[in-house]
Amino acid sequence: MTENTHRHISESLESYRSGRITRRELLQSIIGVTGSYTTAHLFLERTGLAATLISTIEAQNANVDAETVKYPSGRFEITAYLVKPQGTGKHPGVIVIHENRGLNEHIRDVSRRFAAEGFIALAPDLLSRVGGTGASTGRRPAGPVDEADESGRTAGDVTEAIASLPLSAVIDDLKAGFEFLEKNPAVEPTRVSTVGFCWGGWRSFTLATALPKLSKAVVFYGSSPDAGFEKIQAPVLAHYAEADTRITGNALWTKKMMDSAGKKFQYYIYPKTDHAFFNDTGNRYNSEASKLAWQRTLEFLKS
Amino acid sequence: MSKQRIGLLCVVVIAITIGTLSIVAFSFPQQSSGGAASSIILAGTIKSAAGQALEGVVISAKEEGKTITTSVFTDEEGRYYFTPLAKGHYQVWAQAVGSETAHSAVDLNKETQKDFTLKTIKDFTKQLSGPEWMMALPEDTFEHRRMKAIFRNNCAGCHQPNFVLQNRFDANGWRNIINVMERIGIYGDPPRLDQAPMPLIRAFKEELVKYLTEMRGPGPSPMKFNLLPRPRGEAARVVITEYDVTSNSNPEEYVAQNGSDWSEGPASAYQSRGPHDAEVDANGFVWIVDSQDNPVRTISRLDPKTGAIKDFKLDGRGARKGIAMRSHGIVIDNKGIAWFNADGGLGKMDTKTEKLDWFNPPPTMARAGGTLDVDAQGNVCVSTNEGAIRFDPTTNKFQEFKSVTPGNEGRTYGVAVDSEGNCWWAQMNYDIMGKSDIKTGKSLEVKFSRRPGLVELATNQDRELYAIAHADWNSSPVWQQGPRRLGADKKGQNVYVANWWGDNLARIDIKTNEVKYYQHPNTEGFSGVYDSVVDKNGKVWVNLMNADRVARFDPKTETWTDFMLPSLGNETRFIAVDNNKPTVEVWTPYWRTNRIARLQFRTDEEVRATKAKLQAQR
Repeated sequence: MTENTHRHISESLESYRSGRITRRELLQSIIGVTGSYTTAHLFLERTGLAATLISTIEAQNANVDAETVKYPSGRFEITAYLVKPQGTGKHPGVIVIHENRGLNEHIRDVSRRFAAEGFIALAPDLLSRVGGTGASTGRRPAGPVDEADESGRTAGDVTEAIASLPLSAVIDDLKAGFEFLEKNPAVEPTRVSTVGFCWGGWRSFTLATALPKLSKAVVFYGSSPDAGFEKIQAPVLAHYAEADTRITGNALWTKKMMDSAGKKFQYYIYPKTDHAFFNDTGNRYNSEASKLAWQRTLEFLKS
Repeated sequence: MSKQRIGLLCVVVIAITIGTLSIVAFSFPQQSSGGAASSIILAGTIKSAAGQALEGVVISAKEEGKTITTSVFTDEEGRYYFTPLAKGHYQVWAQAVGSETAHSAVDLNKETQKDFTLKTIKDFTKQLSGPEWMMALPEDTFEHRRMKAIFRNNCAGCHQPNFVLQNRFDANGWRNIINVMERIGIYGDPPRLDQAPMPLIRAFKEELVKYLTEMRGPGPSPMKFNLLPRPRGEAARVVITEYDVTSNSNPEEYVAQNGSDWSEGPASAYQSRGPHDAEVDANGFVWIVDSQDNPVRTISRLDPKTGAIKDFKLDGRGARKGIAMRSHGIVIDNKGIAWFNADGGLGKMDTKTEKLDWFNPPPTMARAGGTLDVDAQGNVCVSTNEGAIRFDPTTNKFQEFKSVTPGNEGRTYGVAVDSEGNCWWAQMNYDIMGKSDIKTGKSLEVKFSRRPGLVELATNQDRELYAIAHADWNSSPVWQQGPRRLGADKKGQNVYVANWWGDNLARIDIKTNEVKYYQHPNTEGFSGVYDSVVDKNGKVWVNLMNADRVARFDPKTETWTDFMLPSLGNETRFIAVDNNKPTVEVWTPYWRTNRIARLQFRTDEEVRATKAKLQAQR
């Protein structure tokens, strides 16, 4: 990282700390100097700024409590972001499953928003088995197309690491997360659901085929499982983007499979949207569609 | 259209073309190797076992230990005449669909005549071209017509239909094949990270399994084969030279099953494919770009005189270090600079000095995609996921044009620069052509209409599906046109777009943006109108990927002429013309089998001159 980049980021962080710029403006500023959305998020994870500075300020703003926790999954230890509403009482739980970018500030933010709505949200870093999203790889950055700062994972590294995860391992880590949340005395154990985005959306749906206790599953622009529909107990809600043909085009097939198995499946296609439209830190963000999808998600999970 | 009528139409088209060609200047095609003193004409006659002279049979000759195959066709008397070949030991073989391939070793130091008798065979299915398979799929019921259209638009775009239909499987076999096909990438590469299947293939899977098991299962099939007429007239006078290209992973290796013996059927592309696009420079060298990851070549040069290949590599950056930058498309400007895409940037090869360079678009712009064209001033237009970028070689600056209708990633394909310098790009999955208006710097678009006559083949349930599952790579609703690649008339005011599923050329008037569609005559056969290029005489050349043919469209007479290639299963994805030669020559790379072909066109007079030379030789 050059001296200029370092100075620019330091100044932006100071502006954010003192409340002169918002979280979104801070992210845009870091994207501007690191070159890409993914690199900016990886920078915030690797430096711990997402889990400390931003989490503290945003949790305060949202009146929620946020912390980094660890839970066991077989012989592995999974790192996760846990966010709770302030005060006492029982709350429904939700597992927030990240995109193929790993656990990042966008997923942390979504988790805080769930907590602000009365949920206890757990966002596992599903790359924990291979060192975590912000882990150092010790490799040289990939170059201008795929640039990262000196020691962190590049976007390509994260995608490669995620591709190397067997589906069964991810499902095990999500089941372990479910147990962890279920045992939390503040969580209503019969009301633990999942919400997944992109790669995580597919995992959210797939977990429903493997975990009969799952209360509900929400899929944001993710694939459907190939089989196992008959094992699903949880109602499933899916949000699809109009231009995301490869994912959205399979909606009718999925509906047919769920109907044949006698399961509850509701999907919505959002006009003039593309994949990842809900991610307000990315360039495909669609505010109107996101608001509607969020409202439908809350109604579904609260019903 | 009936099968008989197709045959008749082809004959009519060829007959018309013969008339127009009599005005072409006399220019004897130069043979690939050897001078006049050391070269010799090989001739002969091909007959059936019953003694009947066979017209339009292809005869190929390859010198032992060499990489160049020359092919000609028999005339109406069953006679063939090669242009002079270098003296040496050759393998010579004759082929016609329905007959056993006849082979012979010929010592051109001693023999100048080789006659063949072709024996008919019962099962000739391996020899069939893509259109012959497609024509055999019955259209007797609504369901057969509908399923043929679904098969056509979803199973015959990443590979030719004969590659699929040469096989017979039971229902489980076909299902297993489709289970792979619904997820695999267009180059046969691993599935996407999200494993999302191609929606249309998945939705139609069980219907396709049933259909393919009916057509090509263990039981009796309703398919009836009607062969395409063999070449005659002008199409039988062509001389085709095929060059084996070295493997991109090992420059010592060549592909073994390369389609030259039809009885082997269309070959697998596994570890054999590569040469995607190629252009000829003013000195006659051919510059080839390779679309597959490899450690050896980004671009290579073929010397057509010797067949020698020379590789040039731009080293990948960052994590791709050691791997050659991957290319796909190429164009040569009028100063002899070859421009090609390479790992998202723009590659530059000075064909005279062999100096290589690479330009990286700024991070604010989309990366360079796989197709390019150039205007008279040398400005290069390159496709991107989001439209096109234009590179000015005098300032080394890029300018970006974004599609009016934003497309899905990677579905923008062909480009061409028109005579006014505007760049056009094809949004294949949207049936939209993007256009950069150079004067205003703005993007425009021209929308294509649905292919007529196919909308009614969609049931209400199909329509519900097509409403959310739009066209994807090589998978589309039945009515899709599928603008794939295009060529511009650099001296006129038209752009010609090859509509893949539409089976037509769409002519766009660049002044009015009006569109006129010219259907390829074989509407039942799905010949695969893939790419187009306009030669110096205003003729439009098209490679018909599924048919292993090249076609010429004459805009004045609005007629098509097909030229058959001597090999099967070539999977051509590009066509180039060599305007430097007195009579235009045509080149098309065989992507699937790692070869490249040149077509040279002989007039009647030139064939007569060959015959006279032959007499003198004897």
